[in-house]
Amino acid sequence: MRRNLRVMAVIGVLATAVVATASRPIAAQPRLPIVADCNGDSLAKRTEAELGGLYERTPNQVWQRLLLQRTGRDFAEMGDTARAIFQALAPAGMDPTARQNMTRLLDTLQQELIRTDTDPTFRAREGPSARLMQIDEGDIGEPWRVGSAPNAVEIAEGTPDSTRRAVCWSALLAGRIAVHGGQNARREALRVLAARERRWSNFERSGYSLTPLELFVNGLCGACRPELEPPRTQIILAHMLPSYLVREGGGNRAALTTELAGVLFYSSSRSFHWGGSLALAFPTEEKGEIGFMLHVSTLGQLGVTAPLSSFSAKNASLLLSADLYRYIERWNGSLRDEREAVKRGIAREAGVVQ
Amino acid sequence: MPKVLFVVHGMGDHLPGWSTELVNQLDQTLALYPKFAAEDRPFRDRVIVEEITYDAVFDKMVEPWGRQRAALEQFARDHGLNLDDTLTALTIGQLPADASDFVWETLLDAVLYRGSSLLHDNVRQSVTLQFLNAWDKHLTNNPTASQVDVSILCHSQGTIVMSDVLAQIGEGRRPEFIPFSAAKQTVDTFITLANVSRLGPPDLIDIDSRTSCVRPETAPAWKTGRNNYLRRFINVRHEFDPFCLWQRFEPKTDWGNRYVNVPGVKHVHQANTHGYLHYLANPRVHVPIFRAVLGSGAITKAEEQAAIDEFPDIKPDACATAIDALRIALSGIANGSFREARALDDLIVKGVAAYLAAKAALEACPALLGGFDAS
Repeated sequence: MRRNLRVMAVIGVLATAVVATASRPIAAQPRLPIVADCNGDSLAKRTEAELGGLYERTPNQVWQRLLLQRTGRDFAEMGDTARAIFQALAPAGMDPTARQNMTRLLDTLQQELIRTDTDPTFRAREGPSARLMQIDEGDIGEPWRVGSAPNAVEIAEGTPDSTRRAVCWSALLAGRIAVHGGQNARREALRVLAARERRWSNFERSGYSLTPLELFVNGLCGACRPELEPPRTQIILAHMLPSYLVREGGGNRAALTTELAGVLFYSSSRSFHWGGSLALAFPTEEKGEIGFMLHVSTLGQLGVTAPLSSFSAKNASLLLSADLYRYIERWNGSLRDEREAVKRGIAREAGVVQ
Repeated sequence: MPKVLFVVHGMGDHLPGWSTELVNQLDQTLALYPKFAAEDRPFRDRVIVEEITYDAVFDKMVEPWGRQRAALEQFARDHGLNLDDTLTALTIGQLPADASDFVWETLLDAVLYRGSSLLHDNVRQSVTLQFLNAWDKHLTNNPTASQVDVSILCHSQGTIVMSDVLAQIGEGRRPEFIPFSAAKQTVDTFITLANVSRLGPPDLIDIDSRTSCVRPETAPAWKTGRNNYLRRFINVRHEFDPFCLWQRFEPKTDWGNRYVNVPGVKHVHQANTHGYLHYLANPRVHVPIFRAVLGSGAITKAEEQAAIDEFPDIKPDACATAIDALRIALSGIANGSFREARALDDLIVKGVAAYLAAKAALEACPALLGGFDAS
């Protein structure tokens, strides 16, 4: 049934063209350059008055009819039409090698168009090959080449008009069908690429900064990420950050902290990470302290250190990254202000009552 | 058939819109030829130019380093912290004091690209998405067009980036590249100005530009039974371009007549012999490009020869002494030792030497500042 529909559609397209050909003979005119038949833009500018009945077989006209008659995703039907157009236009005396090569190109494309119709994976991931029908203008003095090797057909200045028309017009039509057939696969490819771009964007925006050394080291870590992807695992190495050591009973100290080594783990979207590192903190006017630092995404870094000389829990300090410390200070200040405001309010209310 | 030219910049600072100057020059240059003389915008009226920009990837990485160092130093000053101990000095010492100078803003781009796969993957991803998005847009939005002729013009670091990106896409190295791969599509013309795709220590070059699919159809197949990606490859090297003095791009085998290595490009009209605009001013360079992109009949052989004959080797004449000195200095850099395994170190050393030579030439003759002059 499906095959019958396809045959009927092809016959419909051809019948329109044949009737048109029979009713309007081509006007005599001087020979045009190859570009007139083999360049899609130039061909599109040629008029019905100039081409007569052949006008209905130009790629633009056939394409419009194909789109109107199309039912579902029947690319094979379109491919049949391109082959039929070639057979209809090819002159009886056409060079047999050129005919054979062009037929092979169209047949090869037809196989891919059938796969596009019948194999959802092929349609979504690959699509038919547009290069099969590419037209190459050639350099000065060279013939034009239609289709890909080893079946490319050469169109030279001496090639008969009817041959070049058959080859170029059917190639232009078939090329259009192939590009159309590849649309889903290209769209899917771009979807994958756009998703990866978002991961990179998240990594750049929300990830932990990389120093030059870390950029190099993380580049060497093949296990940290798949090719072209931002890291799922990030190595921290000799990374310095401003921080504060907070101790019980006051005595907070600013410190330059160097994370000696550590590791971070990212979510699949790269918008969240966590991890830890071994850190050395150098506070103002005191000896260095060693400890651990915990990273929680963009919230900041929090750790525990103790002096190297007397490493014990009772001497431990809370290590806060400067950003986190300032955030807490601000929050603490706001809380204090709020508390004061509430107290003042209560006192005022109490005064009114008394 | 719509013709699309992708333009890809090289090292250094390139903001979105950088290609305006390039396209203006292509318009003005094309208008020098009789067929296009009456038109204001003969190039852009025939070719759709798509700009690719990847400098932001480097900027996002490098610029924070300068700010981080400044912030750490300020924090240390504010709290009386010592920056002199060994560990602190080493840790903070890796961050640049000024990330916007010539070395960090320009030369380091190539070093970072080669030195970190993390960075080059970020660049490749960004460029791939821009390239394929635009390519697909022209395929999909031209439903009446049977074919979209895609060409690429790239310069300097852009030649590394595009050679790598095209190899990945063309060879279908990942499943998502297959619809645009050499099995399905072709790139019409790949034009490289100052091709540095081989620059760097061999161990750090993960994609060899001489063995990938990025070769013209007249070259031997990159792999048995597989398609080459290009129809045509035009490669241009200026004889006094400091970044093309070593590790030059040359195919290992004969790539046939569709590989054009443009000969005799040695004019000096400006102190910066690496700039892409000065490359394109030379008719030996722009004529093959115009023919490839616009069609072989765009400029006749006679017009080409006349343009070459009229194109001066040096300009302006008043700067002849400074130009001689510059050429001698650049030849000296070219003839100096070069260690392939330490290629990135030497790139910095020789790059700075070339920069100083150009600066000296400019001081000796300010007219060598450059800029395109259609007269």
